Amino acid sequence: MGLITISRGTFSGCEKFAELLSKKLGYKLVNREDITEKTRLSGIPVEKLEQAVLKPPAATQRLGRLSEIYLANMRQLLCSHILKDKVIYNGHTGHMLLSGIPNILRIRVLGDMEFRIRAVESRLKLDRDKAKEFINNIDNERDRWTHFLYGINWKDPIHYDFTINLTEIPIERAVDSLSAYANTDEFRLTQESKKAIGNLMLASYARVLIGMDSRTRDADVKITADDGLVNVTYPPQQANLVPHVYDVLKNLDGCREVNCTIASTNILWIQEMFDEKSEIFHNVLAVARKWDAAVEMLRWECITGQANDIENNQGRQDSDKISDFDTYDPHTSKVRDMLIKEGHAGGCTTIKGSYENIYSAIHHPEQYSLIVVDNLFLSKSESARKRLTREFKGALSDLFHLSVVESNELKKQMTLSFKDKFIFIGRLSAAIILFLLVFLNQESVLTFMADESYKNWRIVSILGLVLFVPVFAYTFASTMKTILKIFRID
Amino acid sequence: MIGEGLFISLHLSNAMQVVMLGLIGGTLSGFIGSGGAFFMTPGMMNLGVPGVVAVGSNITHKFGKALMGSKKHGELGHVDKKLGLFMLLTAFIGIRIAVWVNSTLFQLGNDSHGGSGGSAMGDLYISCVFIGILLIVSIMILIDAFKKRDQGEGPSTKLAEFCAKLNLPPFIKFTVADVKVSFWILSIIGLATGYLAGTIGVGGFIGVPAMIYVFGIPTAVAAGTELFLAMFMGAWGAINYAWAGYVDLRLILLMYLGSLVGIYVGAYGTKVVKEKIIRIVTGLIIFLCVISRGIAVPMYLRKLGYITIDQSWDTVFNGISKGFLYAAGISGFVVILSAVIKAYYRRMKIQASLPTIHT
Repeated sequence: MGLITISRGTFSGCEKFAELLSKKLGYKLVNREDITEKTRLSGIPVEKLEQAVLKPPAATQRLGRLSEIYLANMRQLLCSHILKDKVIYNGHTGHMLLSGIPNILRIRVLGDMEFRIRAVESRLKLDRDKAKEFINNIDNERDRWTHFLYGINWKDPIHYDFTINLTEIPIERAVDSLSAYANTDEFRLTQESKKAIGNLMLASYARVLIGMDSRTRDADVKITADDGLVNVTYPPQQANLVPHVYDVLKNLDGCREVNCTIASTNILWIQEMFDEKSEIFHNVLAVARKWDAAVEMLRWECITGQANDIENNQGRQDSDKISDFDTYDPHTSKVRDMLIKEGHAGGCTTIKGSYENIYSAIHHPEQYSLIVVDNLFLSKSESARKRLTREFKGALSDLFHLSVVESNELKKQMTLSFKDKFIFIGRLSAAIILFLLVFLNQESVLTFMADESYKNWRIVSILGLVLFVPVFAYTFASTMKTILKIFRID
Repeated sequence: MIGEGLFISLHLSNAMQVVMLGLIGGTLSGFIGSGGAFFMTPGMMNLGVPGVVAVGSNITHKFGKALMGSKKHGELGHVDKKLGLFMLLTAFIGIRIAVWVNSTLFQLGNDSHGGSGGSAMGDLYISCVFIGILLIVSIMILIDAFKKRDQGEGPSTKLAEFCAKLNLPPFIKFTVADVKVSFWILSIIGLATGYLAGTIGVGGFIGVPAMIYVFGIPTAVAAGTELFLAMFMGAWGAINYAWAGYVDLRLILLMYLGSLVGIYVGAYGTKVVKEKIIRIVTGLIIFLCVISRGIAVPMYLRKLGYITIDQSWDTVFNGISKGFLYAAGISGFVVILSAVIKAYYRRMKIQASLPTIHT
């Protein structure tokens, strides 16, 4: 099984390139237009979505739910092709539909402006200026569309394995070069990838069904699937939709169980191995109970692709065999089942891949309040593990602007250390002192601030006010936050 | 009163009422995302605080809160600082004008013909602006709440599209908000936001809808940018009102005792209450606040000598006005609290009755 995605610029010669590559490799060619048409025929108003995104001023929040359903349908259709054949997908950043799936060969095809203008002049019979305007308009629309759907700049080469300029390289030579790469182990979909694609397809199909049913179409749900278990997380305000969700999904092909979780927020928990007896599991569960959160488990083994990394290279060579990193792990299943029983399950995903695979697997980071990382890089030495975990935490925090903690920090969040207590007493005392300072000297304070006789000191009183007010607000607010934490209602 | 009738004498009873105002205002603020001034300003006026001091104290109170809230939104990438700074240019002018108008009217009230004016002129002006603006806001919120929406549809962009068609250069591009706006429209909205914030202490109800409906900005960015604006507008308003001697630090501290607690309750309420209910509750509370202010108007007219009624009616009007205000605030508070409790029990019930279903 293999998968190649091609992201094309307008009139860059991509159609011919995709056809030749498809013939050379014996892969099935799937065009974006085919899948979009099927999406349209399924009843999803694609034109409405496109117009809302492309028409200025951009109302990027309109039709937010509709865009989710659109993407879910596109994803589900693409996955169904991939599970049957080796596929070349010719579209716009198609690999973004399959975030988190490793071993995809991602290609960007471009042509320089002159090449494209000549192509438009020839095919559309436009003069040069109109051709240039046409290309610029299409490019702008594509930028807006991709930014709206995926939040990325699709032209950034970081999103691709290869970028090919068909103005400089003859198509046939480009096809030959890429065919060679496509046949390497690095870009061959593994058993884990196949399973992940299956899970993605199931979750996407469930999302489409929920979005298209009149009883549940307004549901703000997060859906994951793991080996036939479909996990649906929804906010407390929509608790009344739950019976309908079960009804909608009861005949879903490939679904053996449906689990619904009410959650106001989500916690992403990333580990290489999960253990139901570990302290971190109990801490994560305690936070989930306090925050009314769904815990999404992400089991990850990092493959960095470094030449001197013997263990990782061996793993890749044997990728078709069941590796040590088995997709089924009884402890992970046990933890997942315990979370389901507690009503805090948010789904479970397994990824064996690079850092980029894990970053792209984290869709909608705004849904998470916290990321917990622990027990990673287990094949490394203790010091390497600490360093890599620290770097990984920093990268996650920078990318997603979220709080990222390890188990020892999580414990700190749950309890008040001696330092926390000391700071709390300090802040409480400061708030009381500032309060009494004003109220025991009311008349003096008000006279100094308002009386005409102190007009020359007005700048001083204003400076004092501008400093005093935020300091008191901060001190008192921090004290209240700690008090709520003590009573476990923060 | 202390200081020529500017500052009320505080005893336990009215101090607790100010804390309650802060608690309810903070809860509503956390619930609906505004500053809560639409409740706290008239609430303080009902306690006998002159309107100009109520507005000045509230705007200073808002400054402290906005300083903390804006940091969090900034970390989430919800603040378009460029847009905020452009709006600030004219907002500052708006606030300055508002402070001058309020101060002048307060002074004029002391020289008013007929009855004993005192702060009545300023109070009347603030009340009229409050009633006019917030009546429109409450009606629009209620209409919006009851309007049927298409699947996944967000705010209407008709106004934004109309403004885009006007084509009034120069245009300024804002990358975080992802919009292009005419400098003139930006200036007018900034001026209006600043003027209203400086007059009645309410900025969010104008700024946020203006950014969403007139500029076409996503709601999260509008809310974050408004908080960024509120920080500076609050600081500028505080400086201007403090310069004129119209800020009561005691009221600010008492409000914080309530508002910084209430905000947690309100914020949690948003997780468990449906958006439609949030809009309806918001609209109704604001509407009741408007009625409350309207009932107080005859008092000011009598003090200014424009109508002749017995002075004993002041107590009646003030009492009914206060009653409406507290009815609005307390009922909103009770709705939110009961929603939180109801959601808790509903969740327990659902978890017990709907385990994993095998398909």
